[in-house]
Amino acid sequence: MNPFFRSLTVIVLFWLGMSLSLTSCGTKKTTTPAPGKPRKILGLEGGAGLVNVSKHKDQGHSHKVVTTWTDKLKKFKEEKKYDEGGTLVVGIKGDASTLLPVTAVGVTSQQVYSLLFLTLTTTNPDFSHGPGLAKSWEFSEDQLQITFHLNDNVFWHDGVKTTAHDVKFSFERQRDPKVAWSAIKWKDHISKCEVIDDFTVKFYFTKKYPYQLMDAAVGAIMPKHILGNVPPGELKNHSFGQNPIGNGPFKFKLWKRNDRIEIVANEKYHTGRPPLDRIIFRIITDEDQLAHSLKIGEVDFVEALAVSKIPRLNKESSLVAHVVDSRSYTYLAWNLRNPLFTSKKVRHALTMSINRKEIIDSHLKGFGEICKGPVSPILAASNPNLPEFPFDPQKARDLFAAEGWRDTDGDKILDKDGKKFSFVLKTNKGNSIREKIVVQIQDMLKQVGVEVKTNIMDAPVMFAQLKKKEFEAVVVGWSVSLKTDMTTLWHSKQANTESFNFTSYSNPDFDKYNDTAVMEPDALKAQELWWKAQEVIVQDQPYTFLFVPKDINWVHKRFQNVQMETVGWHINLEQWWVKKADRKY
Amino acid sequence: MLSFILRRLLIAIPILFGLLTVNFFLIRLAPGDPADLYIDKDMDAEVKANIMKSMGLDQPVHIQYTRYLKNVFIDFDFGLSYTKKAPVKDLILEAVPNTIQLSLLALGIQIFLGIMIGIFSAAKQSTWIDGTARVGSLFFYSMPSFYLALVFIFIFAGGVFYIFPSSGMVNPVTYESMSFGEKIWDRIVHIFLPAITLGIGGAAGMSRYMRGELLEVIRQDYIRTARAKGLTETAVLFKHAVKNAIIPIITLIGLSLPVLFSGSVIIESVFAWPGMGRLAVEAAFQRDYPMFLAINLIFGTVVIMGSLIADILYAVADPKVRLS
Repeated sequence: MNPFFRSLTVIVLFWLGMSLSLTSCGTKKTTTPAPGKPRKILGLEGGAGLVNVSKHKDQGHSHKVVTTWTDKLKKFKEEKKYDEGGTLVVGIKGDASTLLPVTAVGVTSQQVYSLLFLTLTTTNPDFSHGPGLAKSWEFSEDQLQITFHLNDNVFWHDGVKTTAHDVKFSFERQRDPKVAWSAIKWKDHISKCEVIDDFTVKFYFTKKYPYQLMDAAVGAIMPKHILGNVPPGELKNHSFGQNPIGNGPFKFKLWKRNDRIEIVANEKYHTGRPPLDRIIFRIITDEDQLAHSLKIGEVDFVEALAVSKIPRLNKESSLVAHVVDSRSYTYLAWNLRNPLFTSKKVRHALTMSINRKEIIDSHLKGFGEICKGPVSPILAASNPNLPEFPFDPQKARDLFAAEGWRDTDGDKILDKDGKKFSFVLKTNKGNSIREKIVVQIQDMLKQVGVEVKTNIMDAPVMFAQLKKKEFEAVVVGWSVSLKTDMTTLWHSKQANTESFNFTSYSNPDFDKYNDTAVMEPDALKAQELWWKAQEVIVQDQPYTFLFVPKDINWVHKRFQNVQMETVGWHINLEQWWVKKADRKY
Repeated sequence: MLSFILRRLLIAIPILFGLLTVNFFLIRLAPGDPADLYIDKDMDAEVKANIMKSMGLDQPVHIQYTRYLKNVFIDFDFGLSYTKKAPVKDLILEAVPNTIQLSLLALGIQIFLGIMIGIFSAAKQSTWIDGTARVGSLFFYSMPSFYLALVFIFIFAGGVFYIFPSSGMVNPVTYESMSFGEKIWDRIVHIFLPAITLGIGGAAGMSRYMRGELLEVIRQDYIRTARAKGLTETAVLFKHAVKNAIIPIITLIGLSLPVLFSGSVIIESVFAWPGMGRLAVEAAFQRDYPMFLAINLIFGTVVIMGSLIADILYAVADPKVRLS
């Protein structure tokens, strides 16, 4: 269950516009079930229960072994106040690519393999690290080495013991360019991985920085005794990906392409078998069908179903809705190379002309918050005191006028030096919320005399154009990883190249804060710098940050002890259980 | 006849080759490339280059093309799907039978319902049966299939009545532990709604053709002769009239095969049917070149086979036609 890698895959699908729900399979803030009766809040009325909100705050990065979460799991299994058995049917929108962690792409693959394979650490709800395959670890004096002590009772599903050799093997494959692991960059500062003994392994770093533990731990551990002789370039073709052997709480059972993937409880799991017998991932691409299947009980759980399906489901007393904050945010990017948008004041005016509250109320049915800046509010590095640009069309008009934009020819469109304030706003096809938003923004900007033409495009095409900076304005979204690093999106070194800095944003102040913060090992000092970096960006408004959506995860009420956390819906899947009397299958 | 079929099959080879070539270059001309699937701001250009290399996309197009042709025609290897990381051949072989099942059953429904309704409609011309059939067929013919699918699901699969499962090919939870008989039954229950949805539009169209043709034939002199001989109305209708009226309809059967295949794209998505249609859509959107090309080749083959079958059936049904 590694949320870091998940974030990578999430971004992939976000762009493809395969609807909002996929964007949110990353981590989320959540709600814990209220003891006793579920409470109803947030306009979700009807029979469906809704769990109340109790947010775990990011504690910043820490190098310690935090065992509160794993202790809870241990206690749960020791007390054994649950029934074993039962099946969970998960409705999911796309098929997996492969179940070999190092070559897998996409949310489904990731969700499945993270239940089959262990990582060195587990990520706790507050983003700290708890024991995983490793039971503990320590840093060297100079902080350039981390030694992991592995559990000595973890077995691969074929009966072979998981050892430090597997860890070393996995590290070597992960950072081999021939394997083309999409998260290879995370291993950049690790020079080598050394086996001390069968259950002790040491990572060597080239420098000291805040995310050393995260970087060492990211990526699932793979079995050397099976994959050791496969040439790295051939891994992606290897049949292991269709028939994986892991060491996690669940074992792979069967995969019918485009139909379903079934995994079953690992009886020999080192902390005891999970209560559920089976989990079946059903691939249902059509969102209406997904909602319907949930309603009639053919599916027990759907993550992040579109808000438009709420009216259909909230009368179902058999369902419980978990509302969680998604780690993505949606924004409107202005191309700063375009003469229309070079002025900071004009960008302020544009932001103030857009009523973000109304967008959230009308298209997200209130399930979202206004986004204020480039770092997701779930992260410790997020600055809570950023300047806001509240909806104020009159002030926007004044700002436009101060910048010389006036309607001189009476066509209700602002102009300056004979040029009209008119541009094309793009977004990607397939994301129904974005498709509606661009039209709404068109209408809002018309009120202040700005003409917007909309263009809803095929996602890969649009993406290629964005990287080449061939756009005027665009509505899209990012998913944020748990590592705070704003370099890729905002650094001036990317401004003039084909990069993710679409807007060509460049500000030496930002560069300064960012470059120091990235290398600052002290969490508090780093946070201060990140806050300043965010202030610079928000003052510049290269994006109009639109909203941070919430996701609604629906689950059948017969499942007990369901807890969905910021780091993923399945964080405590090992503890879900069904009362014998309630069991359906 | 045999030489005719052989010749047509031989002609099919250059057609499919042309289709493959055109598609090969067309999909590469489409903006965006397969590595853009990894739209990840945390990923370097270097990683992307490695991914492109691992897909063989770092080579010039003409080399990619010759390599592809060699693989397809000499090794019968359609490559590895970029997104699914598995051999295209395996993926397609897994999905094709599912689509064929669905399409053939839909075709059966289309033929049976279409012809029967057409006959009744014509035989009872200008009665309430005819009226209902005509209005009904117009209704189903003009209804978009995805909408019809949703309506059927709502009525028969959980909304009003819960008679059929709303999606999938088998019951995912219990299928593996079923007996052989139960498995068959489970499959029948699951295929029913998607097949009806896919077939009913075509049936509606076909019934209107059938009615038209039959009304034409019924006015012919030989039908009057048959009636004058004292044959029963049923014998007149089925032995003389239908036999002649059905000839043009038979052509339709072959031609509707590709329509059903492409219609399955939508139906498969709504009913979560693990067939080719969904593979096709995903391959196009995700720029999965090898998958896209292979699927197009199959669709092309279905079109060619469909028209060949139409010609053969025509010759079989109409003694005036000789294939040479």
